[in-house]
Amino acid sequence: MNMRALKTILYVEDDLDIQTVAQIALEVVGGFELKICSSGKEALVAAAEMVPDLILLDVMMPEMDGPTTLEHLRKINNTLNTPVIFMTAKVQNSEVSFYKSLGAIGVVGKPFDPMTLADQVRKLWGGEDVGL
Amino acid sequence: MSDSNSTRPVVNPALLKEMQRLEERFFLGLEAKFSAMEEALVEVETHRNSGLDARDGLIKLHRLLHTLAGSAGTFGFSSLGAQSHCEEIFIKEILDSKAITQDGVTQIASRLRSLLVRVRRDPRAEMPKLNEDAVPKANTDATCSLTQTDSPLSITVPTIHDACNLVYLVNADDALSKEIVTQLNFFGYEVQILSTLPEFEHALEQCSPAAIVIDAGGGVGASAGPAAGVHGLARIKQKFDMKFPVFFISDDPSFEARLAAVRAGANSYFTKPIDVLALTDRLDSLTVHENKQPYRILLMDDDADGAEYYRTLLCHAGMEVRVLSDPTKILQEMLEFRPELVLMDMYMPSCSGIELALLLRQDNLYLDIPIVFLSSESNFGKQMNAIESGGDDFLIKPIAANHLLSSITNRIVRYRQLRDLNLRDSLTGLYKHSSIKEHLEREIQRAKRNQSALSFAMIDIDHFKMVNDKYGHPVGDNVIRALSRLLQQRLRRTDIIGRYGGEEFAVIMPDTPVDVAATVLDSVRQVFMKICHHAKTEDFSSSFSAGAVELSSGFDDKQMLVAADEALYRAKGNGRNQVQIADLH
Repeated sequence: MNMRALKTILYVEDDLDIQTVAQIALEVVGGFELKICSSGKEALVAAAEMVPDLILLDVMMPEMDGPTTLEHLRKINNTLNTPVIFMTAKVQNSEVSFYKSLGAIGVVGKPFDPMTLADQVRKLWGGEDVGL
Repeated sequence: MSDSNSTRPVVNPALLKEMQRLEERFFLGLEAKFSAMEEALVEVETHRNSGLDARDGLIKLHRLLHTLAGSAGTFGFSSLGAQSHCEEIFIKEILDSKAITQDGVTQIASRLRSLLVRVRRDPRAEMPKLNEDAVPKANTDATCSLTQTDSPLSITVPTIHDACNLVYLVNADDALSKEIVTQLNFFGYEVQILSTLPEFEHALEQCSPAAIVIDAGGGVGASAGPAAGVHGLARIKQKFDMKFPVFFISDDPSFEARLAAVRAGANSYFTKPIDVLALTDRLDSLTVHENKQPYRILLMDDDADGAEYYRTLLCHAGMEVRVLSDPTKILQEMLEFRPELVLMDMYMPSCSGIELALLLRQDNLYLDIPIVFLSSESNFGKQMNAIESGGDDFLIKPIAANHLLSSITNRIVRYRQLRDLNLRDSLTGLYKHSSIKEHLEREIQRAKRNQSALSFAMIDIDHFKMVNDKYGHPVGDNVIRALSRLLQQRLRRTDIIGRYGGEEFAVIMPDTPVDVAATVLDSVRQVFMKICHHAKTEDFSSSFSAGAVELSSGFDDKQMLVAADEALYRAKGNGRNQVQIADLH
């Protein structure tokens, strides 16, 4: 359970359409500060230069997928223990437990509603186990 | 919407507007995504055909579908997302299996091409229901607010629903099967090849198709004789309630063979070599509903509560209804909404229903539109006055729902039939020259008012005179019909297609920038090139050139026509078989 307020998010997503919508959903609606990366590689570079409160990670990306990116992020000082939420299209319960076994605090299912995404993220951050 | 969900924050209008802009951008970017899928699919097919590894292409295709499955819903295209998700899972299964078989690739190609045809026509189209016997759904295209709620209406409209597009092909000849599958895919059918009768029986247990095409010989391992398929089908028919059309393909042109097929329930009988285009033609005529657009009704009533009651009633029956309370706005509404029937009250504040009917009838455009009065006026003389003023019918309030619906439906059906006779070309069913020009004028006005984009294109079949000279006019007519059908399949429902002259077509694409229009037309061009036409002496393919133009300020219909024509001539001059965009500078 996180009592601290959520402020900065490192957001990794390769689909530009989704990036733009999520940016509005998280920055404008949610009021978070966002660092957007379009690939796992970019995320690793960014993590060397910032200490995010939370990492929001798309699962399926070309070259380096979400779980692999997480593995590498865990070797960087700034993101050794940062809470992680995965984003992925229509997941089943078994997959959710798999992502949680990797250390994720939750999973956001796609497609998401841009108007409620920030709320969903905040709840996961607060330790609530929100359904997909 | 925000009331129904307490977790949904109150949003400011600027944000909503921004979301709308993003949705629109997503919509305009869809064609690029579809093309990328098509490319990946072609890569998979080519690699598979030449014995190379098709896995990379398939992974690419899977990722494209996965991305769309995850994003489409966010932008308001949830059905597209759900359908992509289905295909994504199907491809994943094949990727996870040991080997990527030819069969697997054929199935993927068939499913995906049929999906693409559907979503290109209407990205918001619902997933087709495979079992037609299932409850027919209310028409979801109706733009009245009742159908926009999340819970689907339970009222059913049997006349308006998507035809299933699955075809079973029972045939043992691989080369022929392949050709039939390819050609049927072009026209939006999904084909499942079944090589034996037992396989066919099994498939029937799973799902009832839109039609079957069956070899009179009965497929692989059929017991004996050239008519095994005919006998087998007769037997299967006793077990299943087969409501779909049956097409036989056969080597045997004899009267006896045809009679046996008729007795087995054949709707059509094609002898080899099979003219696949003719087969598609028959298939279309038996499976596709000609006009699926909901009926458009303008309800003219100054009493808001009363109007709401009738609007709800008509909307529930799948009709598209617009309510107008201010009679002075009627001319604008007639132009914009293009109602197929005007339902009006007798007494309104600024003028009477009779005056309004007379006013409409002054305009040649509205001489034939049904005008029905709906009023509590019980004085017979006044009712007759209303009819004399140009009204078609007088219905007295209160009226039973059934009575109202049936009199409205009958009038609109007749109106549509008469309009079609006058406005549509008999060979293709497309709009004629004069009506496409009328449509263009109207769409230009609308685009200017709404400040939306509008594209217009002229299409001309390449070397068409040569086709006619070499193969004869009937063959030429078939080429024209093939292109017209392809355009109808491939373009969106909101696009307006006309046959402009001999081998020339015109297309109006509302809300579409010219680069998107050109991309869409180019994808039609690529498919058209691959369609195989049959003549007595040989098979051949054909191509077309097109010129597209976007409405810019100060343009009228004539200037748009000229600009599109110039672009078309440039396409011809540059070697034909291409799409050119008008150069306006």
